[in-house]
Amino acid sequence: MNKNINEGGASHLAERLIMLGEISSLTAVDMPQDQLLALFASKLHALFSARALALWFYDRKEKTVMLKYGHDLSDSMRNYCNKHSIPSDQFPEIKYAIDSGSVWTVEDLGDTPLYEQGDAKKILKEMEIRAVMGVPLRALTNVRGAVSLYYDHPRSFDSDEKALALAYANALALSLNNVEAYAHLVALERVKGEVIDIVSHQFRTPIATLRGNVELLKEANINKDKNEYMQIVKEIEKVGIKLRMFVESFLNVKAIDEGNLDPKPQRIDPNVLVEQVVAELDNYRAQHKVSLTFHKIVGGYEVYVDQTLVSEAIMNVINNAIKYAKTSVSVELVKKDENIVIEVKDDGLGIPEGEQQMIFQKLYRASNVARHPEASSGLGMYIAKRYINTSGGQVWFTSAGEGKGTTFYISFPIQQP
Amino acid sequence: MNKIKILVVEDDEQFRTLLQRFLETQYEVILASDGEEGAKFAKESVPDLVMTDILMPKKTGIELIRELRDDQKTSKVPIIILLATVYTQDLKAVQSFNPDSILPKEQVTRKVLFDLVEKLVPAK
Repeated sequence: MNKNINEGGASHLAERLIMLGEISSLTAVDMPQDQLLALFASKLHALFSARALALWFYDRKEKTVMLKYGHDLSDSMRNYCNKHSIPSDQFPEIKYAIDSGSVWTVEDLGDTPLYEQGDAKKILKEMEIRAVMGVPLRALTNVRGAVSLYYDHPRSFDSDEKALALAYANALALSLNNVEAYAHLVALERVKGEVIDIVSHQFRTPIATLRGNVELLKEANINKDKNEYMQIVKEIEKVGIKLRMFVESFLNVKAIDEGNLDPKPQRIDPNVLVEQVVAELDNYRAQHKVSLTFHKIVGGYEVYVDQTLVSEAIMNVINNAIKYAKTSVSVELVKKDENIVIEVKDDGLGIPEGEQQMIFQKLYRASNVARHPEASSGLGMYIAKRYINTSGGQVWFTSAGEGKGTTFYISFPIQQP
Repeated sequence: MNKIKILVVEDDEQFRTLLQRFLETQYEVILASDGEEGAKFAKESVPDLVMTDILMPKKTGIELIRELRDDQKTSKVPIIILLATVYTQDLKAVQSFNPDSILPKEQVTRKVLFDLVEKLVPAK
């Protein structure tokens, strides 16, 4: 039996077109993705009288698909699809719809050898599927997946039906794009709010200090008490340095983002590199009442890095360790394979397990330090990673979790003499 | 006449020094650089007034105030909160304590400080 379900003719087609208009009006940019998929998939399933439906997202790089939504799929198909990403050629209708960007149909699976191989064979046979329509999920030129409509009897597909299925799928793909763009905007808005919080918080005390010191300067008599006068000027200078460093961290990020870093590598003894940073941080360490031990490496090794960038990166990492340590920080240089690794260990707050992925992200501050008195701009580790990577190095860390300290590792290849 | 004794609890070194310069011309000033030190000094010397920051290491201003209010010796000591934080969570906590005064840091001038001290501490 070769039955065309579009036998309702023009009125049936018009009805489906009206429903397409309705469905589009039901979508909203702030709709959760699952809800959006369910809305479209259930309509497609019903309007095209399919026995079952599967909606797939495509990973172009891996050439695999993931099942995102299924309607009346068998348990074995669900089990098979839920376990892993599937190579897109396992289900021919997905592959051809995605590759061609247009609707691809098989009127009777028995007539084609395409379904005689691969994982689809057993699964579709079990579901007694006889005809298939594969519809690409295409938003403009970007094919982001496909919809498989399965039928339990051989059937033909006319051009109106294919065009309509494509129109539904296009509407869904565009809605998905809109939902994602909106989510991105919401995320940007949140980041903007965070930046405003960070900047206002970081600027409020220094500005108050500057203002107060100016009041003191106005009252002071430079001729009568020059010493007092100069001390106030020094205080202003210190606040100025603090503000400059904060602004510089933002400017550094801008340089990184715009690809304006221009590393000038040179051969250098890693001991010297770290020793200078440790010495510079000694006052900061003393203020925090934290002990710092430094173990050099023997063997006369050299690394090939941009000294300015890498020093600042190491500075950010050790500075962080001191800031969050309870009592002690240790910095040790060791040789691992053909690399020099700088290990910076603290006994501080640690990094909550669920947040460890985000440490090197821009503006990221772990939840347990976001409101720390010295909560940073959230740029230090981002800058450190970019500077280290630019100089051919790697940075990573281990943390047993919150309250259990953190060890950061910075590694650079050893330069042969 | 005894001088009014003020405990300043502020972790930012430059702001702490500024407050010291403003206040010491008129009052006796005790300085603490974090909440823990602040609690210790408050209990040791029972000041006439405490000025405290909120976000500080070891013990926050919120924890410090809670401790001072819970201790009979210090429960009546007026407290001025020096506010720099913009985080809603902190602002809510600050308001829930009903402190004697909340002073945004950028409004600090010598006169503002002196007026507040006079208002909150009965003349000795």
